[in-house]
Amino acid sequence: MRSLRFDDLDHLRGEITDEFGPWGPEVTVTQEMINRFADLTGDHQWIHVDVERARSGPFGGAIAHGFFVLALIARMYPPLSFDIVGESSRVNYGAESYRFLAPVPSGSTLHARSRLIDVREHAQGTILVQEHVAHILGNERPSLVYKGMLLHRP
Amino acid sequence: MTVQIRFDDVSSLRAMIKDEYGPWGPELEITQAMIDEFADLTGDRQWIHVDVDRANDGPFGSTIAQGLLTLAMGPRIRTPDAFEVIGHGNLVNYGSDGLRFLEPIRPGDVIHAHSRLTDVVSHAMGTRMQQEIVVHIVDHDRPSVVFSAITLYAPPA
Repeated sequence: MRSLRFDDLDHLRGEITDEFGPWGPEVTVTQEMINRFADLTGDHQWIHVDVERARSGPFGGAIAHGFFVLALIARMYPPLSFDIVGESSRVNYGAESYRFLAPVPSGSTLHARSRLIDVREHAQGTILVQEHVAHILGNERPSLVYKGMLLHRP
Repeated sequence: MTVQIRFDDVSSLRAMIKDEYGPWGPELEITQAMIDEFADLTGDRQWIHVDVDRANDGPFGSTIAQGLLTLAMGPRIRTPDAFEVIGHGNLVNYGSDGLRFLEPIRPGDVIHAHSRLTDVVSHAMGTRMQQEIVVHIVDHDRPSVVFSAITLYAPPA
């Protein structure tokens, strides 16, 4: 794999693309994980944790919290087409936007792919903006579109 | 008593758009146990979050919480509602048009949030309301997290 320096803006910008890279690892979202996320965050809405009631609800079953799907990006993290070298650390800077577009019922298997959409010079380093899209296996419509920003520091 | 506004009364809802933040919500202490459980659930096990010994010698002098953990804690630090939306069916977490992590949160820090309504628009699937939510460590001037939260209020089924 090619290596690009974090401060080589020209070459990094050359990696901005309309094409998504390969799919990353698959992750199955179990009801047990959803329950643990509910306990951790205090979001015990019935649509997430009351399996009986959710069965006759709008999605025919319990669904994962949007923020859980977002956080699972760390597990699904799709590979970039290049290595970034020369930085001391990378920091989660935030997101341009994220959208929850389709529910993720418990038992679903998710995977994600990514593309680089912007490279920005910043007082503390370089910000790479990547678009991550997470789909349930076989679903054409993504469940999550996440434009995340990482700050790569000298 | 809290003012009640129908979900489809867009002009009355828009009158609630404000430059000022509302009152602070409840306080929550972030613990290493929460950070560890979030790491187990999400796979974000970077040493800066979970390796206490190594992080003590790292850039922040201790571990720090995952940014998305703070975001996910929203229901525990939920800000008081300035008004009550009535008459709607499902509520959908639609997403965000901006999220910034500005200051690290360390285990033992106590956080709270305040918010303001920033936009209300009619949408094909109901009414779309946008709030700006700002999370601070208690008594810190600089926020730790600022994000927009868009919620869709669907008509009753």
